[in-house]
Amino acid sequence: MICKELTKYIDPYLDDELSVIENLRVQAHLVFCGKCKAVVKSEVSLRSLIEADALEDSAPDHLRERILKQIGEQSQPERSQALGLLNSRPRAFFAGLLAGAVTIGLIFSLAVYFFSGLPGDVSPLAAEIVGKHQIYSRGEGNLQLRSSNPLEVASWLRQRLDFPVKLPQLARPGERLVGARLSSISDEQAAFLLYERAGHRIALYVFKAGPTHLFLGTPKSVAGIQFFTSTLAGYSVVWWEDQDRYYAAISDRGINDLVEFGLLCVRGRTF
Amino acid sequence: MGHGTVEDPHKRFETYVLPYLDLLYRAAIRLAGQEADAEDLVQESCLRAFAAIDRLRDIESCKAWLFKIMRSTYLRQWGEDQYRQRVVGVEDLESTLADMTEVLQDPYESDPLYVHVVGVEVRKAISALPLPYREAVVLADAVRFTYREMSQILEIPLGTVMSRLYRGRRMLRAALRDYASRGHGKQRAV
Repeated sequence: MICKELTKYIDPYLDDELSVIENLRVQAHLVFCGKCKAVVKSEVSLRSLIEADALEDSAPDHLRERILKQIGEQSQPERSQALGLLNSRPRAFFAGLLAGAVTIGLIFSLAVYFFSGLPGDVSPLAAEIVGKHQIYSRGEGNLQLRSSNPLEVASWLRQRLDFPVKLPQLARPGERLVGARLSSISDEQAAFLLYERAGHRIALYVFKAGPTHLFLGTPKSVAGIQFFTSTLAGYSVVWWEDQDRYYAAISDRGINDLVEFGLLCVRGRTF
Repeated sequence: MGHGTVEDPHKRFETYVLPYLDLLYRAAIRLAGQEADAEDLVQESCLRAFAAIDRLRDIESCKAWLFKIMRSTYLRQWGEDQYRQRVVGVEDLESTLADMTEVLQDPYESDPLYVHVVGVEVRKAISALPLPYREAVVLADAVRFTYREMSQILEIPLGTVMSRLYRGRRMLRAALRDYASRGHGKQRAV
């Protein structure tokens, strides 16, 4: 075997894909060829790097719990329905998910549904946020961190995001932070925070600025702050820009309540 | 089922699917990029696997079956456009194979530079690979599939699996060398 021939065998040799005979031929060449030995050594170190990096990741406990919970809730008829969905065309798949069979699919189905049938003045950003809100605000099972301590939540987020987050200063009775999780908006990394205010849940998303066309909405200027608002599927969504970040709040309360919450955020503290 | 395996769907799921959760997540985070998207992808894939678990006849191929489900979920919801735009053509494959001897011209003597590469850079370099190469490298090196299993999951011939792996690893090596030399340069500058 010559060096030129060996190059074809390096990957399968290191990936354990060669026959015994081919293996021996490669090893025989490597015994006397320093150049090829260096190539193989380097390839081994590349694979080790990738493998070592991969071994650092394992599925988070909350993901395992979430999956088991959802699987546990599914009865045989629901499974059959889901099977039907798997065989159907994507559009029917999304429509079926909207009927409520598979929870996680709701995010995507709602987005597609809203994107395809939205009236012109409804923002795609609002549609995405409404879809995610349906999932994340259901109980507390979808939160990765449950805590009412803003410092603890901010510190948790700071370790996972590459941008700081400004949190609202809550002062009234009945107002509390419930917890947080990581999310994404328009393919950008996002923080998701869940609040309770006067018995209603408010979700707050914080993310880096995305394409401007996503931010179409009804402008509303309050106390010198430019808010954008939208209502969709019984939810109000309000969003605004603050220090190169976008903040979006959503709840089933009215726009004014959310704008008030937005002002608390703008005047809040950056962690 | 007729072959002495678990019949209750929930038990089947816990017995055959759950043990692969970590591997699914490892691949998902490298495909989807963000932790939240990876979790959504794994969750969606598991729900689809549960819905179809009666169809899992060959328990030995459960791992490949799961990853095939996850790949189709990913392509459907995240990557189909990206994939179609970047999928390699026959000409690319032929030129890839013709280029194999270039490996001997690579500066392998600079290998110790890898010492300066950290995990986050490996992740970043993998994420930057075009999807056809990224999924090949992830399946082979992060999840340890055989070429034959990869051929089934990716629905491509064995030869294409090998050429995508070869090209993907070379792109990765070039990117890591770049990171390493920058890290090296920084150290020298201090």
